[in-house]
Amino acid sequence: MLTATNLTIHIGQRAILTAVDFQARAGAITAIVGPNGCGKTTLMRALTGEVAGVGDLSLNGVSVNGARPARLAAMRAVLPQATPLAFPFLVGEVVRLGLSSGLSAGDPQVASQALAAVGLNGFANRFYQELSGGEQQRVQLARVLAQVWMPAGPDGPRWLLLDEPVASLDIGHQLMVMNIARAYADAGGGVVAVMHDLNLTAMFADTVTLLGEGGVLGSGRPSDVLTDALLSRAYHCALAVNTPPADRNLCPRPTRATAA
Amino acid sequence: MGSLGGASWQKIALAAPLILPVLLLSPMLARGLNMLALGEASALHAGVEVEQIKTLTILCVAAATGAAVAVAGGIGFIGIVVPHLLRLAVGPDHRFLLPNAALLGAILLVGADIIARLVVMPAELPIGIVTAVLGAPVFLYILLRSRGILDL
Ligand SMILES: Nc1ncnc2c1ncn2[C@@H]1O[C@H](COP(=O)(O)OP(=O)(O)O)[C@@H](O)[C@H]1O
Ligand SMILES: [Mg+2]
Repeated sequence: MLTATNLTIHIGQRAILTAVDFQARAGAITAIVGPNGCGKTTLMRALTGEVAGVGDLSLNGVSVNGARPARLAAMRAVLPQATPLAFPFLVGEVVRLGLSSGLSAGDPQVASQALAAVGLNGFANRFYQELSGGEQQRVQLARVLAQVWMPAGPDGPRWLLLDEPVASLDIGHQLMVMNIARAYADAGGGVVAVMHDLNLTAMFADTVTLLGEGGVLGSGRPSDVLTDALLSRAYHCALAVNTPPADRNLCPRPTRATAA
Repeated sequence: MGSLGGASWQKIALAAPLILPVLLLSPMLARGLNMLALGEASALHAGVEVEQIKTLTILCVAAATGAAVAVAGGIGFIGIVVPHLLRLAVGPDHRFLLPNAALLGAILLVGADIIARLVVMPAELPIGIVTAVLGAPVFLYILLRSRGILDL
């Protein structure tokens, strides 16, 4: 269980989020959605313990703010919205950095398995900087997966905290990544993902938290949160769900939530 | 400009207690430094005690560099060229980079000293001039060549 109670986060003088309560359970995908700049990344950074002293936070019953980084690293891995990389590392080296941070560090197979999982078989000896943006994003996901490779252990569930994991991916790879998240949750792990694509969110998330106006506008099952009224209010434009556009007939959407 | 002309066992005995522990300690910094290449936040998420690693690294660098400069004077370019050359040759993994940089740095310094003592015999050129003349073009080359891949 990941629980945040009464989070208030200021950046400078400005309150970005006020009195936010957030919960995510293991075995489920919890999506955080909301317009640009509403504080999704800020909330994620609070959940990871990156910004301290903002409220009560606990992960698997451990208080996040008091915990040592290594203790947290064994329980959860974090995919930031963007990851800088200072030196010319090979793809395999980047993934092994993640692997070495978690409890599967003794198993050298995991690095190649993680790369295979994100569709980057055979990329291990390429330079990270030479890959496309979407490929780099998937390398980072493989690094994060390798850190918490087993979705659950004797010490409890592990967690993936993903900030816009599908942001720069094509539709095929978006589904691939969401299916990885699905499988992770089904195997007992917890997944918290910041999402921009509301359709993918509706397809994959078990719980949605909609942020806006400096707080939580709604939280619950996708069908209860992703409503015309709440979405129009959050995104400041008229939105209607479950209404196919009349004048556009090219609207590809995935046919199965569990595509291979 | 620095010189190895005044080298003596006594000076080595003074510098070694500062430099040797840093060389021995450096492998312990390697994992933290590797993770920091992904940024401080990612390093933290991966379990690195970021502030501790930064403090320890700065202390190590200050101790080793301070001792070396106190003994030999300021000799430029070795420190800036060697790690970049090694990253091109063996990659950026600090587990290998740190000890290799110490070794290659020492080799280049001795080489530069030999040149400094030979070119204007019987006088001795300041060694910093030799390292600058040789090192600056190499550094420029690395900078221009690796711009793309280093994302500088
Ligand atoms: N380092 C910072 N300094 C000042 N303002 C920031 C900083 N980071 C984020 N903000 C502000 O906080 C708000 C929320 O940002 P963020 O959480 O990144 O939004 P998003 O929901 O798009 O991820 C934005 O208005 C942004 O301008
Ligand atoms: Mg964001």
